[in-house]
Amino acid sequence: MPDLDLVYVIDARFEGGVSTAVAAELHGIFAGARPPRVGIVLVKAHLLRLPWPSHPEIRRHIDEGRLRVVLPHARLTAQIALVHHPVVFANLPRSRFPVQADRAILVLHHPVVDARGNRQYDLPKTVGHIAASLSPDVFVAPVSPVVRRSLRAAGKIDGTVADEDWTNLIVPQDWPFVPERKPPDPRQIVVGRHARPDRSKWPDTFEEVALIYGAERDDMVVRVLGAGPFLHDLYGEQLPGNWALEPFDSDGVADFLQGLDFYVYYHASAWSEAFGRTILEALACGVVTILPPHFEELFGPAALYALPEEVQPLIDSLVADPEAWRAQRHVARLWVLQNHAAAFRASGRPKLYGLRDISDADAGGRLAAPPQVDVAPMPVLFVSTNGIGVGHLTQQLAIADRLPRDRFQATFATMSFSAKVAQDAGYPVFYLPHHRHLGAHHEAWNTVLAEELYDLIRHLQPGLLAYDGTAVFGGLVSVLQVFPDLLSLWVRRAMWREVHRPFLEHAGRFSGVLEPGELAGDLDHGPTRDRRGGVHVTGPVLHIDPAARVAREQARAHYGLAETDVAVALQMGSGANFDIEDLRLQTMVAVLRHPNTRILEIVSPLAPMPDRPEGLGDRLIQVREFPSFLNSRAVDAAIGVAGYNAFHEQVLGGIPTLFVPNEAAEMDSQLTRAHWAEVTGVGLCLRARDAAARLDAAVADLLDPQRRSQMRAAMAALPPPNGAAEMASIAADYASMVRTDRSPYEAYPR
Amino acid sequence: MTRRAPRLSVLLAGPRAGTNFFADLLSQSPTRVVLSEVFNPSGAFGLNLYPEFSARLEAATGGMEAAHRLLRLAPAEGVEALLAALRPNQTLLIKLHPNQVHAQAVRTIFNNQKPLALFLLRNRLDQYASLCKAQSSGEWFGQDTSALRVTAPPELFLAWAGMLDGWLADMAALCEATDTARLVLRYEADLAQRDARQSQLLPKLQEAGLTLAEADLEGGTFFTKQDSTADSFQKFDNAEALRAGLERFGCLDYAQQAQSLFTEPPARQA
Repeated sequence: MPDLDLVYVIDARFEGGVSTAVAAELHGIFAGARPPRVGIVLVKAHLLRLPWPSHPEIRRHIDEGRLRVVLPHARLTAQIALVHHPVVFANLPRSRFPVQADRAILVLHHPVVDARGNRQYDLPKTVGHIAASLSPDVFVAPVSPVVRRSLRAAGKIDGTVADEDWTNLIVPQDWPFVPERKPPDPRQIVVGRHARPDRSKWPDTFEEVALIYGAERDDMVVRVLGAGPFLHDLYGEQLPGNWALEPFDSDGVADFLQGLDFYVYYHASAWSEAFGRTILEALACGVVTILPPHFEELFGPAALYALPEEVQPLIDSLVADPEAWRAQRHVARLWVLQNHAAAFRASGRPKLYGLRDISDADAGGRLAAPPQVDVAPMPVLFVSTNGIGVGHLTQQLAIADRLPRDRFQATFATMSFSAKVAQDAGYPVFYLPHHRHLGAHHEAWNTVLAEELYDLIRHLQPGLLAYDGTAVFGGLVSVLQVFPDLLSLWVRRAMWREVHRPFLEHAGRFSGVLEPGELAGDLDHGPTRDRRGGVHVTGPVLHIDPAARVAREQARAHYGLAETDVAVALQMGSGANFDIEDLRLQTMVAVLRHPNTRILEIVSPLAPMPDRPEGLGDRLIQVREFPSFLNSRAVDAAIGVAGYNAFHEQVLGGIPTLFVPNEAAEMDSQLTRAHWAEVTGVGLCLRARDAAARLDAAVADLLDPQRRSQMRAAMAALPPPNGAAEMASIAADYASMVRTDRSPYEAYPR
Repeated sequence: MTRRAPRLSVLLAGPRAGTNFFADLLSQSPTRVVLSEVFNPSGAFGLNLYPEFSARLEAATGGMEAAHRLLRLAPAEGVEALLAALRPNQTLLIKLHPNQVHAQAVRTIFNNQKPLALFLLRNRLDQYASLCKAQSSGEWFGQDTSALRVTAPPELFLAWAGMLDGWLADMAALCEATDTARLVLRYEADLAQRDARQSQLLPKLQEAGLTLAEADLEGGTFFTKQDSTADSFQKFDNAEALRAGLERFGCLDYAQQAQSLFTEPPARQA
């Protein structure tokens, strides 16, 4: 019996219609009574160079255990492979493909040539790559008559073109239809459109777009989902005043569509729309849809068709005839139900091509026997710098801890003195001494670093190298050049100082660059701010999710705190580049001046246990523990530095904090963070240089119950942090990817 | 003019159109091998009723699992294997439901074997009720399910009907494109009642070259009418909501009718 019934082969990072169509198809497949065992090969195709996350709905199927990711080093068999989009096999895979299938179906989501006859991909070559690496029996299935027609220009292929179109499917219940929606208000007609932000999705000229969308009308608002600066490039600085621009988003589209009276979509003359997923979504919601006449073969009676000059008169005639408008809404919904509903189609379609019911998956779609139980976890190599503290390593632990242990083995190679925290967390750790600690010359040290990393990579054969640090060392660059097929991610924070700018030039050495979100990002004025074009920014990354922290009572018991104690955490960092001793003592005095206060001094894993000032008795508790925020609910307030991790753990963990930024030149801008906290009311800021004058007042402010209550309320209003989980899912995806993004031209020496 | 008995007949219908009963009628002829769903993804059903035929098929294909795999992955070759397993005086009838064989393979079968295509159509709502009842009860034949009521969200029914309509239209178009002889039968008019079978079905089959003795019009009695409820809506426990939902879409009549295939007179009537 094959290991899998179906295997999807897709670059799941596609943000447009391809991934959405696949997600809907998967929904239909798993909704069946006896769902097949379905796997997915995540391909890194050449089209997307940014480190996008996988489509959220595809990711959900993975996370909920229905869709099994096939790791690159697996050796599985499947009945049917569904290859979505030819770009996935534009090149041969860079390694042996992890699945062999009885049959492969290549779904063409895009015409072979565009409206001007320009070739979009080489179909015979693509089919050849599939036949050579996945299955010798290849079917080609266009998604629409438009794509089918374009096959005339494809040349001869060594495969079979299916008679059936692989139509886009939709889950109607995800696109609610309100039968008795209020007809359009003639005083404010709401027109909308939704497309990914690309100039090909818009009419060629301003005159045309103004004509279609009624630029001069003050009784009409045009809502654009998928706007962007490109619109100004295309049409000039002055866009029509009745346009309401919103960025592209695959979330919340149904809500957007519910608010429209009309959906009007016209695109560039050179663009050839293979189908029009967003149109289908509008029709599913029953939005009266107006399109150029060439769409009629795709959407039949579901839409209305008009030349540009006919659009506004058509809208006016329907506004004047609410009954006709209402009837058209029902026609649209009915057509979608009868032609594109995932139910009865999604699960049946692979059966047309030979899928047999031999699955032992249970009714919920979960795989009764994971197909790669015999596949060893894929190694992921986390490499971090860290001469000063524990921040980069902590951030990597935040990611590693969230990787599924049954599929990934995290291994650390770090320059941090606190390497032991990773070892204590159960990971293999390799210590790489920083040149500063050795007093080594840069050149020699980089050579050794490259050799150490080379051996590690050769030995581990990781699916991914994840680097966390600001400085990109020459040794690292060298080793990435030696292993060009190794996927790599650079996790690099914002808030850089100008001195770090040269490192930005190394971004291209990595497969992708990720930036952990900064609460204070709006104030960031560092070099990374204008270099986010190729960077994926996640939410703030926490090592310990607030919800996972120990309950307050239990945490206070852990430290021996009494109910009446006002516990103040003091966390001043390693002190390696920030002389904290005097400030530490002054802070203690200032805090203990207040009744019932006790200080919980959390000592960095890197710092020696500091002396206990005399006479403090049990009002000072000193602990060295990692992760220190696990028990953070025990404390009533905190005083500490504003490094990325501490800052976000404190603020998003709801701890009223007086931030004392470490302003050493080589650090990122802690002052920016601390200042942001004070300005927005989520915390307080005290610069070390002002301590003599302001420390007492700042501590008094922090310990004022009303003030702390206000801070807690402000912190509670912040969006929940999800960056660590997002980073982990991106790391998991990248570590699972099969590469087809490298052409032989760039892969071999010439 | 009566046509010569076709060596291959393909019965095309949605599930629960009455194909089991119809096949049961035709299987009464000793020279006709009437298989159930040989293309079913779960198995090549019906072969067990013809042990000698099955043995020849297995010998030619390498076993039952191999035969099933052949029928699923290469349906046209599978049909050739089935025909090769017939004795010289035998003919073959196979069933084909939606989502079992892709259109290009059907086209090849039509082109290569010149079969008789039999379409069996039924009132959409009754057919859907029968499907829901079978799925709900797990009783696919031989049980009276008249007392059972099932829930059918109107939109789900419309999605199912749309799928079936599309497939039948595609198959009809394939018939026309390949100039395949066809016969359209309607469950209510031709099959449901014995009188109709005698007055309508027999002559039509006769003309198409499929002989059937009057004595065989009851079939093998294994397959019986499972639901005697006359009003289609009364088969559903959400009858009023279903009716209102269909009415809203202007689909009340549509729901209570079968598909209409071959609007033009066929070029070559069976």
